[in-house]
Amino acid sequence: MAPTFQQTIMTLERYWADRGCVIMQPYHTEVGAGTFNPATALRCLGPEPWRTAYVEPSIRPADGRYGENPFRFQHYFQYQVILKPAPDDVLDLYFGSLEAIGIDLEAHDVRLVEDDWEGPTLGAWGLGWEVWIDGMEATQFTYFQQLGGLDLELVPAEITYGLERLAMFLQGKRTAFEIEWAPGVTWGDVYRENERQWSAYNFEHAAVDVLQRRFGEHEAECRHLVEQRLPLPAYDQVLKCSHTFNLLDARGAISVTERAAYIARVRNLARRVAQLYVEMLEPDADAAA
Amino acid sequence: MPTLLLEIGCEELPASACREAAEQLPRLCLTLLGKAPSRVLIGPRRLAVLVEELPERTPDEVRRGPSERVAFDEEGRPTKAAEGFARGAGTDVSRLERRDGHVYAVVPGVRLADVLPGRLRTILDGLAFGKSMVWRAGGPRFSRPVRWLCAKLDVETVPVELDGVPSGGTSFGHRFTGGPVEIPEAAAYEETLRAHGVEPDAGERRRLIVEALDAIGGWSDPGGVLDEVVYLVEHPIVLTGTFDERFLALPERVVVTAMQSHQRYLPLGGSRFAFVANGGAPDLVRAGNERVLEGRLDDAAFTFERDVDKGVDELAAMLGTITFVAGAGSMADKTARLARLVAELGGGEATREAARLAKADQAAELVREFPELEGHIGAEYARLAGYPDAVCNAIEQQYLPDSAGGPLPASEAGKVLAVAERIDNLTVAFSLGERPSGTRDPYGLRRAAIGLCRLAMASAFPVDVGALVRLDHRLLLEQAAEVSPEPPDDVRDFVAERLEGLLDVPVEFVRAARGAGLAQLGQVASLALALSKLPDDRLEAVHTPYTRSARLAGKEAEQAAATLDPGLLVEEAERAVAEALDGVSPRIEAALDHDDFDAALAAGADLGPPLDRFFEDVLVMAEDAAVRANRLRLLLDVRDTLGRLGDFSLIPR
Repeated sequence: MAPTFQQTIMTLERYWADRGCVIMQPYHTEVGAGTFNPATALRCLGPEPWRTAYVEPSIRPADGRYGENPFRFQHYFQYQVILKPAPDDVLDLYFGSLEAIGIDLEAHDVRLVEDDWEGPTLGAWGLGWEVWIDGMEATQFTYFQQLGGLDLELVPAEITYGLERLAMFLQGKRTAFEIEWAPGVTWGDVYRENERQWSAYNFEHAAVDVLQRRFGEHEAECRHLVEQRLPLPAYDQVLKCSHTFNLLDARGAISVTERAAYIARVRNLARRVAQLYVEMLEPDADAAA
Repeated sequence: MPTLLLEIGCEELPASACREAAEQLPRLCLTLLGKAPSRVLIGPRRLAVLVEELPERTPDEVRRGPSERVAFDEEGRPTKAAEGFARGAGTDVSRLERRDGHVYAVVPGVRLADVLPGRLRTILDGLAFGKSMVWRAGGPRFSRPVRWLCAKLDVETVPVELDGVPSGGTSFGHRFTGGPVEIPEAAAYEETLRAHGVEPDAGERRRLIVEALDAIGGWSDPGGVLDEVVYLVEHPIVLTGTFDERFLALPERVVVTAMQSHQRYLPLGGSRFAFVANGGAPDLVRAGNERVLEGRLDDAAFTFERDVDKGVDELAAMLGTITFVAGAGSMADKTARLARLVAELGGGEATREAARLAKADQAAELVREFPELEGHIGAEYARLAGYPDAVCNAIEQQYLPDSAGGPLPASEAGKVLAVAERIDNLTVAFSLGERPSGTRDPYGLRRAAIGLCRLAMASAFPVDVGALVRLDHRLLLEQAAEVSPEPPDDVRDFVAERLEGLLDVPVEFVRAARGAGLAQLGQVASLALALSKLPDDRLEAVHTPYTRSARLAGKEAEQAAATLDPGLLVEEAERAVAEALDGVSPRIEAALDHDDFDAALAAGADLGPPLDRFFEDVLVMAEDAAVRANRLRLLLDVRDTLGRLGDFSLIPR
């Protein structure tokens, strides 16, 4: 019997908990990927070791197709693992997780295909791979090199599973809608209407003038919070800027040249927040301030 | 003499890093071990070299020291400098050799076995990758993490130190079926790995893959993915799969792109494909790959059908909502400018129709998924809407040439549209102040300009860059674009300057031709070629009269009369020049009208003999101011007439 969607998630939670990961929960504001969750983006900074694993809903407004295209969604799930610093056997740990969810590594063709990751709004990059299972991209694996424009004191490994793809593979389903989420309930039952309504919002009803104004407000608030030496709330404003930008993009309100300028604005914020965050990790940081 | 094995065990390396290592390892071995490797074995998880008949000692090194004058004082005694140099080279000052005014020290080689671990480490450090990473903060840099080192001198294990990476006589076989493998001796490396599911030789892997593909037959690899696939597998298994025939309704290049650039498959024609796995149970692996490809094609088909439901005309009507460049309006504005430009270029009905539909696919969802197929997808949609081939082909070819040596549009309509596309991109960028500078050229304007030159040279229609840019700029102003109020007249020079690198002639001929003031880009190129092909004596025949008149009269130009007064020509020799000019000038113009640069240059040469006599017989700077002014004018007329054939002062003689 193939595992249900929720069983696969529970197996991953158990597997990574057994390997010392703090099992976190999704973040409370929209993020385009699990990387943006502060449990990754901020916790990977600084000298403290850190291991975490969590499900993250990935919100990408431009990718919605009204629930009509069974391969495109504006909302789907990633399973995110951070091992900081990356242990020498990190790949073996990852392959072990595939076996745990029921993939026979000798019977399938599992391969690591070069894929260098760059997160321009986070000022972040790393080198790694897409992991292919029988030709299907199932995971992004990245050794982070920089975040917020800063070199990292410990090199983390980031493992990001595409949960729907894994489930489709395990259950032999052709589309995400058909995935069995729980016995008798499919992914489509849970989320198809959600896709329709949010696509309508993202593409048709999100108010461009309001979003443009909000972008500036979030930006200003972020700067203010950085001045107040509050990097954690300041970082939320970076996320809100990033999501507002994604919505404006879905509304077709951003031209090719403006795009670069928007991205640079978010990156500058992320950089300042990252610097402050690292600064405050140092002992006596506030005494110095 | 012993055989050495060095194997650097890595996490999966990119193909580009494999190629870099394959190129660098032989030289590193030669420099550091005194012997090039007999085998360089490169794969995704290992970089290995086998050096047979490794020398016992490293080669002696000859080091050059200070000059003899510095090394020895007046009495011939060694100086401090000489002593220091000898010490640094590990020898005695008495053993320094002298030749060519310098002293030399021979640093004797050492027993290689004594220094081998350090030398092998230096080989590791010597590998330079275009992109590299650290896997431990402050640790070594490499393309991907190094996880083991295996070095053997025959049966002896050689330890290599690299930041705590395990080093010894153990290698690893196939990632999932191989496990740790003891290498008994260096020479047994390849066969040992083969027994554990790894083909270490990239050349052999390629041979195996091609052999299997040939046995299947009918394979193709238009995108060249095989070069990467060779480095994606250690244990190649070639399998075939099929996809549902309904996907054959998709544009073929969409299917091929999904197979090649997304999945690294090799199309077999029809609904079949081949791919190279690294292991696994064939039936399972095949089924999985088929499902993945069908998913991708299903997604593409879904998008394709939505686009086709709209149709190319409706897509074109949506362009008003798509920004082309901030400050330069929408894609609809761009389309309007293209339509006007192709009309100006003399494009016929098909070309104007193609211009109207050229950007329609920018509104297509499929182009967002397959951006490399812009133009092609638009052409397919136009074809499905029943537009004639001439229109569809022009849409398809508008982005050609897309690389330095890439093909040009095959049809005249395609050429016209491709010229208009580049004129508009250049005009818009320059009008927005986005000129390329140094290495910064985010809009690829240099490539656009080179493409424009190649198009102009290959086209029957004239390309007057200056006039087209002015027209396009006027259209931008009419569209209320936020561009500079003045037209960017420097586009013309920016484009013509590309001819210097493009034409295979010395640059001075291109510069001279650019100075001729010809409006059409193709003419500038033809003139530069004609000038470069001119035999020396014929070049001399126009060069000399031009430079002599330019040098003499150019300095005194402000003294020259506004126009020539034949009544003031008193000397026989100056009347002869004026008469020659009257004959030559219209001949040059007529020849230029027919792009017959050879004839124009021949006509210009006819001014040479009368001018020679003029300079012998006539005193230009006559005392009579009116006569002097008239003679200066005559020489300026000669210069300007010949100047129609190029600025010869830029050709050094």
